[in-house]
Amino acid sequence: MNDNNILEFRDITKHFPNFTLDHLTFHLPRGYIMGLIGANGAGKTTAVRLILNMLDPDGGEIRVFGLDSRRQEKEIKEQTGAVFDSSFFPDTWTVDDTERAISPFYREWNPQTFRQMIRRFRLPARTKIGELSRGMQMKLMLACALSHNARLLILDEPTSGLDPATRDEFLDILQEYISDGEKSVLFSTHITADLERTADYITCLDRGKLIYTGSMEGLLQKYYLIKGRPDELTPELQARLYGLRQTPVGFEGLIEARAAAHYNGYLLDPPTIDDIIIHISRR
Amino acid sequence: MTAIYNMAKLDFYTTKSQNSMYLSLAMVLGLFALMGTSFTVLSITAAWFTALLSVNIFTIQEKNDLDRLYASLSLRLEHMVAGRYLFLYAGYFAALLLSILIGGASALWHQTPVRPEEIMTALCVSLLAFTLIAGVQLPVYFRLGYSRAKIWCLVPFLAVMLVVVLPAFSQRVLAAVTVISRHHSLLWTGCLAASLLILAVSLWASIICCRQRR
Repeated sequence: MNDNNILEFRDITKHFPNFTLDHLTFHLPRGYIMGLIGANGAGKTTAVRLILNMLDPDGGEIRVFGLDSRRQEKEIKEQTGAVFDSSFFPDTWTVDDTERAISPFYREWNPQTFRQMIRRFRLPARTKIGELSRGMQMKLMLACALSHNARLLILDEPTSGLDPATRDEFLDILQEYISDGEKSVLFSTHITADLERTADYITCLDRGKLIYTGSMEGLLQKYYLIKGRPDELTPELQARLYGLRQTPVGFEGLIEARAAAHYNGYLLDPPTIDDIIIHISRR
Repeated sequence: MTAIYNMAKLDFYTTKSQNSMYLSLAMVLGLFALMGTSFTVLSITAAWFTALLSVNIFTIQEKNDLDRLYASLSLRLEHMVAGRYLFLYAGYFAALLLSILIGGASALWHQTPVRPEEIMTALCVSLLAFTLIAGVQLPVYFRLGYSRAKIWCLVPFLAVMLVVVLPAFSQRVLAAVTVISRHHSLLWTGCLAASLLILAVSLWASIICCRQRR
């Protein structure tokens, strides 16, 4: 275990009847944001649930702050905050109820921090959570996650369904959160534009398998989008492509950079994260 | 213990909008008391009603996907389960106290004597009834969740109802109940011991069922 890693997945396997998370290994260093990406059904939410012990792995181990995620669950969760794609509070609670119900679970709950966040987000204290907008519900989850000195934030598609202004505000808060270099964020999302703005590291999953884990730059430099005329698509090239798309006038596919060196005569473009996810998921 | 208490408090906040349903219990108990019903029947009614209401927390948990909330809190699974039991039993004891108070008020009204043995018998039998129902229900709810468990969880209700009405249809059973109820100490001890045993087994089973859901 590297002391610099806040989160480590070591050979994690989880079997379901129609899906297997297969020997997943990655780590998140302290002070960084890692994006967890992949198509629907890739295993992102499964990975998040494994960290929070909502699921037990069939093999491997997860370490958070160097502690075993299953044996030292309480100590880990004292320093962990989570935000999901929809509110996980009862609809009938108000903001005040939320603080009264949640704060006793954390030794380091800071009521001043919570109140500051509520004021900053302009959340009405006595309105029921069920009557708040989606953005406000997300902000309430975030306020709770940030009010007990959490060193790891786990975000499972928190910005889905939010307007651009709210998403922008959310991303600013994440940047503030990691600015001291001691905290980390695991950010599972489909909205790759958010990751392009904030993520330092990326872990890419496809159908339960790890495709890539490492720096954002490394991922973008690992592949090229290759395009050409139909007659330029050789069987050898086709075998090297991910997510080949063919039309009567040409073809397009994703190719690894080291293989692309053999095809300099073709049109090679740097891919976006979306390009990578789309082509990988179509292989 | 603090974590268990905090979980019970969280459950209380979760269901607070539905706690007014206890007013219905007060009305039913009041009606039974006016009819001169015994302490035992009043307290078993309180047990039955509270066990019926225990489904509310699981309904809300499923509707709001509160598993995510519990998973995000600094809370071990065993404490989460124990806290749920504490919450439900606290509700039961509150209902039991209500039934005793209403029964006492009714006895004063009807100018009938209140025998301490009768109250003690009522408490012990009621506790056993509630523990039997909740003891079977809770592991099933923890294992299957509200939607899949709701039909199965009617079984303990029907079983307890059957046990309560059986003496009215069987002379042998009535005679046995009469003999047992004369030996107060034996009855109280038996009910308390059985309740504790069922509670312990149920709590253990609930923890296992919760782990199996992972």
